[in-house]
Amino acid sequence: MDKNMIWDTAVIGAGPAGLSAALAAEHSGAQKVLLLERDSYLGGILPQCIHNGFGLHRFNEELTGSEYAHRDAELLANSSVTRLLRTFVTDIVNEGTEVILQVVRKGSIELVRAHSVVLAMGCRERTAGAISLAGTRPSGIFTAGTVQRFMNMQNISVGNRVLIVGSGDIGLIMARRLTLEGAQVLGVTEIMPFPGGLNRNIHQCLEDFNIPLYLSTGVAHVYGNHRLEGAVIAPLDDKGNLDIKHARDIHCDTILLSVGLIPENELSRRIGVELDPRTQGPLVNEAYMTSVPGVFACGNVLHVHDVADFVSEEAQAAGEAAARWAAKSRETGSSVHVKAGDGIRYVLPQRIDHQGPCTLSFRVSSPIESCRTTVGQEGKTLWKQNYIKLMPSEMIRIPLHIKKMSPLEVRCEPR
Amino acid sequence: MSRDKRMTCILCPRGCTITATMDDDAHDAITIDGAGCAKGNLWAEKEVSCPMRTLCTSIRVTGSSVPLVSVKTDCEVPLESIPEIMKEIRSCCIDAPVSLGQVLMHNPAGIPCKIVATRSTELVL
Repeated sequence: MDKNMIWDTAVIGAGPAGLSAALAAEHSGAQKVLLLERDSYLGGILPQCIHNGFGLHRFNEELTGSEYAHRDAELLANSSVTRLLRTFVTDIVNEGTEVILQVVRKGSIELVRAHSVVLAMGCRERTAGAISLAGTRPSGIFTAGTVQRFMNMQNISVGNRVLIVGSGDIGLIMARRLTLEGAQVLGVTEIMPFPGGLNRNIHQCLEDFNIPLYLSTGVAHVYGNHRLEGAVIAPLDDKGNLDIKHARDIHCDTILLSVGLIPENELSRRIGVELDPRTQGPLVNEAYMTSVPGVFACGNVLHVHDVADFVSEEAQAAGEAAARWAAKSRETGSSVHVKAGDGIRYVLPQRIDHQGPCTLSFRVSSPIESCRTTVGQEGKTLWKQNYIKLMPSEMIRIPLHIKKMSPLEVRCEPR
Repeated sequence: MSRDKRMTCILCPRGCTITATMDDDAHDAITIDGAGCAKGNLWAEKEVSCPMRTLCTSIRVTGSSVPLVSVKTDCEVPLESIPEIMKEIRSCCIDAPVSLGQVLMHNPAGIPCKIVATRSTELVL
């Protein structure tokens, strides 16, 4: 790489978010776009997602994750975007008019200068340590995504009798996958009274194969010396403690954890990006710009998504904005706050800096039936929609046109 | 007498809760309620008589840098036929190279469908 080159836009991570952001930046006129990826292939998590359900929103057809990644990879191959695989970004510094990235590739350290940067590092899985899993530390305890990679890409079988802890989508998908490949999935436990994954995955991954789902149930402890031998699971009592009197012993040699995802924001912190404690991702404006000028964020590093199509859509907007920033097309204005009101867990963006089009993304705090969701401003309703049922697992995205610069509030209330 | 069968539509992430009311002695639904779109109605009608699924899995490949190629059925197949199809796929091994969309098997276990690759992989000598 030319050391004196200043890239218009550098994108960190080539998963669905990074691919779309890089392509959008190029389409928006950025001539020098750099895409940095630590793995040896493009697509991030997508190539190991061999199940279908991708692309319905974006392509109006049902694709597998690997097919979805292939489409973006083809577009990238026909673009002028420079891509570097097996390249780690180890540090990021804001130098006022440009951002400097420290990257490690081919055993040496290089510096990359860019006018704008898109953070698209994705997220990682919570582990046994993160949920303070009690008991011994035998082999046989994996995160669901790790097993997905072992089974779908490396042809490695992980065990025969499997308990899945947590009902996130990857756990549900893996319950089906393990069953198809001949393992016995004994059940899925979920600490909350409602499933963490999408309803359709409960139906097609668990009910299709008669796999029991234990709601409001936790793991008391796991046991086994060298290899996992079992887990004691127990329902929660009224106070939310494990009711050991009603515990049951599950003899299993394998546990898959599907207990949540953490946006991978180590680099964001290095450059001083402010994070939202609810999303665990950066605070952004309507163009997905973080609190550091010229640094944008999209995809799972910003907030954990349930649908890849929405990641691509969000990343496209972030990539376009990053290209505009690099072209010095910058307006500064006053900011207004977007509030997550009653019944809303979080809303993105958290602030609006400019009038014009803006897509709000939000989730409800808990399952709610027959509800009305509204976006209000100065006591007036800008947008409203009735729903038969909303779940926290389902992200809602609504396109708005902001005409007035005053605070907004999203609410979800029973009808 | 009639009875209700509740199910979650799997056609899109919205996951509508659909209730099919069925006659006790018939296998078809009398009424379908709760679907958010026309496709959901058709899906639910089929779901109560013969559930259909697209099978996504992987198949072993030789001569490539990867041990597996991901595959799917080119159309929906009866849910109850999936174990037989899986058995046949497991006993099969494909030679690289493979290109996305390539048909790798015809009518596995006698079920009218094709097994097509959902990724490409090159031949590595």
